[in-house]
Amino acid sequence: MAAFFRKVIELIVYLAMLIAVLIGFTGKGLFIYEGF
Amino acid sequence: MSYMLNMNALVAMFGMIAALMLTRFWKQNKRVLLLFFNVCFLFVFSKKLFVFAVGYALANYLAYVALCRARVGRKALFLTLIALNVAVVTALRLFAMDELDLPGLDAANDVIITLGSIYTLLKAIDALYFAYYVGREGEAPALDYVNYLLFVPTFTSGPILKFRDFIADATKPYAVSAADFEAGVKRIILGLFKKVVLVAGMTAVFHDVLNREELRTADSLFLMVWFYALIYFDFSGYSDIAIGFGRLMGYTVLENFKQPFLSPTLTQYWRNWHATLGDWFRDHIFMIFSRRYTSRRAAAALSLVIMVLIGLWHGFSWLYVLWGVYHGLLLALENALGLSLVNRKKVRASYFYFRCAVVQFCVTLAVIVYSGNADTVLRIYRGLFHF
Repeated sequence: MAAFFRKVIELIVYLAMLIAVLIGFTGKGLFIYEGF
Repeated sequence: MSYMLNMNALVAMFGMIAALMLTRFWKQNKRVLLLFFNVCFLFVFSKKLFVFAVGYALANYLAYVALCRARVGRKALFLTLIALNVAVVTALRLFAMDELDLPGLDAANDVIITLGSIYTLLKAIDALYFAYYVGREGEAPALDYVNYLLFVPTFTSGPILKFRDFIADATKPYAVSAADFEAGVKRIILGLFKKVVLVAGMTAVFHDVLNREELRTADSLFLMVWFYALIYFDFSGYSDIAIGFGRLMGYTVLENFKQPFLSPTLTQYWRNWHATLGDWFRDHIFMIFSRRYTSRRAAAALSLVIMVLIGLWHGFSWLYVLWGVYHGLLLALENALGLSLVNRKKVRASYFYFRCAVVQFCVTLAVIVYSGNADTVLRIYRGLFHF
C-alpha cells in the first residue's frame, strides 16, 4: 500500500513539473549558457 | 501561447518524440533514426551549424579511418590530427571573440558553433585515441561515428560521450524495458523542469540583482551563491535530458553530476562535478604523463597544468587562466599534502561535512567566472569589498 501511494505522489510531482514546463516553455535556453 | 514563439524548440521536442516512437517500432534501425534526428535538428536550428558540424564530422571520420588503417608513422599522424583539431577549434574560438575575421560567419550569432565545437573536439580526440591504440580492428561505420560526434542532446554540453561505449551501444540490439522507459521519461521531465522553470526564473533574479546601480558585499555574495546554484541546475538539467533521451534511444549516457556538493576534497569534487570532463582530462592527459613522472610533486604539477588547460578550454581569457591556476594550485596543494581523498566511512560525520563545506567555499569563490564577460565578473568581485 505504501509503495502504491509513493507511486501516486511521484506521478503527481512529475505531472506538476511537466505542466510547469509546458506553461513556461518559450523555446529559449535550448542550449546551455543561452541566457548569458 | 508562449511556446509557440520558438519553432526550433518545438521541432526539437517533436523530433525527439518522433525519433523515440519510430525507434520503438523500427528497432533494427535505431542508428539510422538517430542520425536522421541529429542532422535534421542541426539543419532546422541553423543551416550554418549544419554545414559546419557535418563537414567537421566527415573530415574527422576520414582522419579517424586513416589512423585506424595506417601502418607506418602512426604516432606522427595521431599527433598531427590532434593538433589540427585543436587548431580548428582554436581558430573558431578566436573568431567568436572577434579576434579573427572569417568570411561568411558572424561571431555574435555563432556561439552555438563555438560551444558545440569545444565538446566535439574532445569527442573527436577520444575517437583518435581509440583508433591509435586499437588500430584497424577499431574501425567503426561512418553512421555511428557521425552519430557519436553530433549526438544532439550532448552537443553544447556534457556528458562527454566515450567513443568505445557509444560504438558498443550502437551495435547492441534495441532493448528498452518498461523500467528503462519510465526512468528515461522521468529524467527528461526533471531536466526540462530544471532548465525551463528553475533556470529561467533564477536567471531573471540574477540579472535583477546584477543590474543594481552599485553592488555591495551582500549583493555580490548573493550573486556568487545564486549563480553557483543556477549553473548547477542549468548544467545538470541538460545532462538529465541527455541521459534520459540516451536511455530511451538505447544509448548509455554517463552521469555528469554525482552529488558534487558532498565532495570532501577538490580532487573528489572534480570527479563529481562535470565528471565526464574531469574523466576526459584524466584519461587523455593525466594517465599518459603520470606513467612517466610518478612522484607526488609531478602529480601536483600535472594537476596545475590540467586545470589551466581546462580553464583555457572554457574560454581564452585571463580570467579563465586565473581560474585554472587557482583550482590547479588547490589541487596541487591537496596532492602535495596527501589530502586528496577522504573516505566517508572512516571519518567522523562532522569532519566529513566540514571538509565538504570547505570545498564548496573554495568553488563558490571562483565559479562566478563563468557568469559573463570580465567586466561583469570584476564588478561582482569589487562589490565584495563594498561594505
